[in-house]
Amino acid sequence: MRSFLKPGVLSGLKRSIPILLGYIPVAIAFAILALNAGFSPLLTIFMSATVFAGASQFIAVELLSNGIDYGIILVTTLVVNLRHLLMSFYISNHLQHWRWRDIYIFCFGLTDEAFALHSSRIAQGELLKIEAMTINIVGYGTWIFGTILGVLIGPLLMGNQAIALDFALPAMFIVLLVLIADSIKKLAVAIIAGCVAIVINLTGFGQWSVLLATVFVATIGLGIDRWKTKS
Amino acid sequence: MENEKLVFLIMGMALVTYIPRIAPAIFFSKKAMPELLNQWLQYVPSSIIGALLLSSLFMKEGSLHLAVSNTILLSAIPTVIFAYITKSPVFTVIIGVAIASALQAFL
Repeated sequence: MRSFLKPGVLSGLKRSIPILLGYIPVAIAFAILALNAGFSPLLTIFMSATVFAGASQFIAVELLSNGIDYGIILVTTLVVNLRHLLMSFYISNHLQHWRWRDIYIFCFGLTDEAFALHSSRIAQGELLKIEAMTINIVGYGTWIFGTILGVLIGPLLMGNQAIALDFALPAMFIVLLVLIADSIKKLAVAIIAGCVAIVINLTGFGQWSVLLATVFVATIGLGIDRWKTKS
Repeated sequence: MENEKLVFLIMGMALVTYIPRIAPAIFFSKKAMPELLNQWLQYVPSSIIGALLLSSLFMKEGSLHLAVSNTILLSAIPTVIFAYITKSPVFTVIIGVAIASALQAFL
């Protein structure tokens, strides 16, 4: 079996397991919300297949059912997704030897969860193209599969919440943070960024929280570094 | 609902989602980054994951959720310990979900 697969595919599949567990219930919940808001099954699946961004899909459906203007929905979606600028910016350093076609495909699947997996790989050494592509493709496939599942038998599945799959993604972030924040300084950065994000959320600018918290904390971190090297 | 207009809205959403994901890669993937930016970027992953994680643990529907009923936050404590001991994503996620399921059933 192993010899038929390119090296990296198997490790990519293994590393995608948390995303697999985490995305399915979220996609099912999205499908149910969209159908309740009056989306056709086909449009619901179309949205997951083209947008592929959990948070903004939920927000858009929410806004639509409240009769909000399309223009506002588009601006909100953009703002919610601005945090991906930072992720793409960070990852771009590690795509130097990739073909453009692969970069275009890869970045389409650069979700929060995929980014977290890729940065833990970078912390251990270097991004492996086939493994990284596998992770993004599994994430995308899972998102569409979960949406289809939700459209077909969503209400049936929602009753069963004995398994707390809603903790799968937070648990993945915990362990990846443990792997990435391998110094006291990085751990402090993570905790301070988290606190700043929560404060921004509480002031009602939740859509900006990750972006602003990261820019703020990374800049302070850099400032401390520069100040230390000077003195 | 007017399906045709919705298709355009969804395509617009796809575009404003893809642009932030691809634009920096287009501009910077084939260039050497200045040293100062590199130094700044080293804090980006911990910061983003910290922001996403702590928001999901402590917040619910836009407000702080500090209560015993917040099983997500409670489950996070043993999960952090397991994560430090095993350093294994798959194992930690499975144990974490098991703990969260148990807490949810008993609390």
